[in-house]
Amino acid sequence: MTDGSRISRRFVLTFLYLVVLVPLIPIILWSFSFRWTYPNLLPVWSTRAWDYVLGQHTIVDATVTSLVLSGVVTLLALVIGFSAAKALGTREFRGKTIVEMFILLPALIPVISAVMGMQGIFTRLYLSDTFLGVVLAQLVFALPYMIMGLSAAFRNYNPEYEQQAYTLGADRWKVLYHVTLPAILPGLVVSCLFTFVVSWSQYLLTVIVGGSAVRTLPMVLFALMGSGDYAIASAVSIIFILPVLILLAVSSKFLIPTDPTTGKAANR
Amino acid sequence: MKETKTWMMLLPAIAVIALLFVGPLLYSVLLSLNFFSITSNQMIGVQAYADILSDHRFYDSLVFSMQIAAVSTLVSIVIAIAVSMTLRRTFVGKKIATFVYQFNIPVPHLVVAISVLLLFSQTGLVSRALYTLGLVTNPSSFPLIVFDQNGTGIIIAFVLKFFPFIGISVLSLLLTTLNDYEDQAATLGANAFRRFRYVLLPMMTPSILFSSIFVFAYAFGSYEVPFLLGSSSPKALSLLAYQDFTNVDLNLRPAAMAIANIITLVVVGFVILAYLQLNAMNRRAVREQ
Amino acid sequence: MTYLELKGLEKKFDGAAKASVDGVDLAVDKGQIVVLLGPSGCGKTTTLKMIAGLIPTTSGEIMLDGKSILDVPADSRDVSMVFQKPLLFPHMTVAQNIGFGLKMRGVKQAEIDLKMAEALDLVKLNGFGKRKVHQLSGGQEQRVSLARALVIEPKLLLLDEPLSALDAELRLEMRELILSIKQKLGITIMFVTHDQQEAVMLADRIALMVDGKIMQFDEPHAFFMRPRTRRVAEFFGWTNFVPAIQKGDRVTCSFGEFVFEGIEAHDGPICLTIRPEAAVLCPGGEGYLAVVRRAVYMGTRIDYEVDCLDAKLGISLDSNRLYAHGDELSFRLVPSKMWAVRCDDKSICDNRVVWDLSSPAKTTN
Repeated sequence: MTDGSRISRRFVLTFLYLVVLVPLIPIILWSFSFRWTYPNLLPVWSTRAWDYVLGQHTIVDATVTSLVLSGVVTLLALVIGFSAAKALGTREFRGKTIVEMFILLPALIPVISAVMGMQGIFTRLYLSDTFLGVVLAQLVFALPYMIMGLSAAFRNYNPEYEQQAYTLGADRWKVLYHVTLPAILPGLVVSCLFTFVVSWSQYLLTVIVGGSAVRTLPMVLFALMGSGDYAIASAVSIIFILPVLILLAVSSKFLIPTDPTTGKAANR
Repeated sequence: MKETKTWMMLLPAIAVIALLFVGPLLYSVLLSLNFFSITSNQMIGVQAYADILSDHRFYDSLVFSMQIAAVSTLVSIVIAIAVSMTLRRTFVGKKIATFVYQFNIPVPHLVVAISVLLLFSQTGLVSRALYTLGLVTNPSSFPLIVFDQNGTGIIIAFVLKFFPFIGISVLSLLLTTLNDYEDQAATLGANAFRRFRYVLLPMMTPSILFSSIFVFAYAFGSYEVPFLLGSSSPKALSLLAYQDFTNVDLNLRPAAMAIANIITLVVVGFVILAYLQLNAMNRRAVREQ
Repeated sequence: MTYLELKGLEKKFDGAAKASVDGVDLAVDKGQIVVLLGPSGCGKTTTLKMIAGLIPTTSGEIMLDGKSILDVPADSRDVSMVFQKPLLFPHMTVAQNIGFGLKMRGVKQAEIDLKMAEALDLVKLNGFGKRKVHQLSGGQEQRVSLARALVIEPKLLLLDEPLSALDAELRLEMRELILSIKQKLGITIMFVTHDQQEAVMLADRIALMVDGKIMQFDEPHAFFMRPRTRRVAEFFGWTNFVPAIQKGDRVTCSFGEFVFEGIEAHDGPICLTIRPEAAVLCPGGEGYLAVVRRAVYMGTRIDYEVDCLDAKLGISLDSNRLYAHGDELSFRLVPSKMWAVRCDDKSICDNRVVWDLSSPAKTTN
């Protein structure tokens, strides 16, 4: 290891830590501030933001709505996307690439492109401004992530285990429960968490399709930023990041330490 | 037990996407061509497109959105390569560093945008820090980063999210497949730079390209981030579309759809690139089996 | 004359309980093929990688052509390596792959083209230059990898189990190829494998490596005539171990007294080791009397496990006469197929029958 590369490594690492961790500082500080006028480096401390956030029913309601919404969306995405993910992960077939691209479309094409058309159709179906409408809308944007994550987990899976189980007399559901799910469990958990976070972070979609009927946490956050009360907005931001932190904690347990992505098995 | 047919396994997901996504996209195309006019004095046709294509604000926004997307993507690629190349070696603190690297990936764009605002606005934390150091005397002497004409704040927010996303798959590649190839290149006499230039970089490129397409598409069509961090002019393309869509004047609906469809078109262009890339990667994977 | 020398080479990985390479001494002459043979995990690949400069040493010395190469980085060592996977650069053609090493050395393109064609000829892949990597079969890939390593005319060629991934027929072809290359170019080669037959076929000398240490470094035939320790003997198909006492060059046990000329002096308990082919049937009933416990038909020979003189023996006899469980037979032992070995860390020689791992009849007690 040359001195030059040691120096450049130190430089890159410093950059990395700065760039990722520093942005958290103002949010944390603001959330504990009563007032923070320019040019003070530190705010006047207070927990008023947190008292408000944890006490005010609008924010609590929005959090619950977000939790339920994202939970339902994730579950639906899992059920609908499971078999497709398995097919993509364990089989080769003609047109596979086209299918993959098709499934990836909602992840590639920006929300703004589709959401207007969605709102139009949903209005005709009396789905707009309803919880169900938002669920369906979010579902289609969450599906690609669920399928991508699950199919990566399936790539390391050998379907012959199932055939083995069938010859031993198990039926389809037993095989699913006793053979398939345990084998892909880590990848499945990570995919669910990731899909949850994707749905959890949605703003534009919920605003347009849900209208006034569905109020999620990002919508509250967005509005708070408009109002200029950064203290409360920061507190809400921290609540908003919570599921993300859980995802990171859980996935770092499940994933092999040196391989930070799901799916591909790391070095021998 | 008979194996389930592949098409049956794919059907639920494909059906949902076809109905709930492609359907609305098509509907939006039809709407933009005035197929279902809300007011009766509109004719079916490409009037909406003609209107916006002759509006200079549209071009300004188009260029602006392209610029932001391109710069964000390129900067992210460079940082991703630098960080991943550094993180592949074993060293004290590697696990923590790798964790920090991935940290931003699941963080919502909204929160990152807020952080950037609180940090880099003229009354932000950085400005205050510089004030304490005596380098800045009042908010307006701090350079305009957020709300500037070039979308710098927007780019920063995007880069913070994008470089780990691109970099993590590059890192995983470096730690697994590419490790042996690098050893091989070394035994053939290639020094560190040449190993990077002739072996590592070319072999990373497919993965980088693939991730970049997602990243570019997102940056191009994002709403939340440009809204929070952008100036009033030029506006990002998605803001233009949203404006027209939420306008009280319903005659602007087709225009909104038209803008959205143009966004779709640009992204689809890049999607086709992704298809070609993925195809090549799939072929290679099948061969290696 | 010694070309490559390893002195006290050691490698202990961080956090590992013991060393992977535990004091290896080896001297390879110029133009020789030395095979590093041993079971998986014995440290042979690690040794090779240290010689190539891909892994730093913990301690010890590596000398090439009289000079230490410890401080020389891997890309300047003039030591080329072929791995278990061909590792051809997928974004380059066959020609570009082969020419890579030359390009790194600044050789002009015209000369690269010439040498590349020669290298292709050497591995019998003439005309493959323009092909893309994904168009090649596994065996062809490995041959290109070989050509790529040879074209730069390295001082030393290292091969890390390059044939393990190939099917049996290809493996034989490739072994012939490697031998012919060695003859044509006179290049010094270090070859790692876990396949005993491969080692015996290719090696000028074999270094048997177990648990990070070299157990014996000798010409191939010595392993079949004079194994140094029990471990070595077991690895090379010496099936039988019988407790005995050594005095000078005489070894005494229940089977009698044998003289082994040139054996390492050691007065005390020792292990008499007997090859399964050492047994010859005695028709007249003279010789040792044995009762058959097990018989495994192997085609041209039959492997028997017999009880004889309160020892268990594994012997291999011609298959024109079949003995079954419980049958009696008498045999004598050919002294040239016997030897005596120390029992490594065991002071007592336990009588066990240890068949070759390739044989279906496994170890019995």
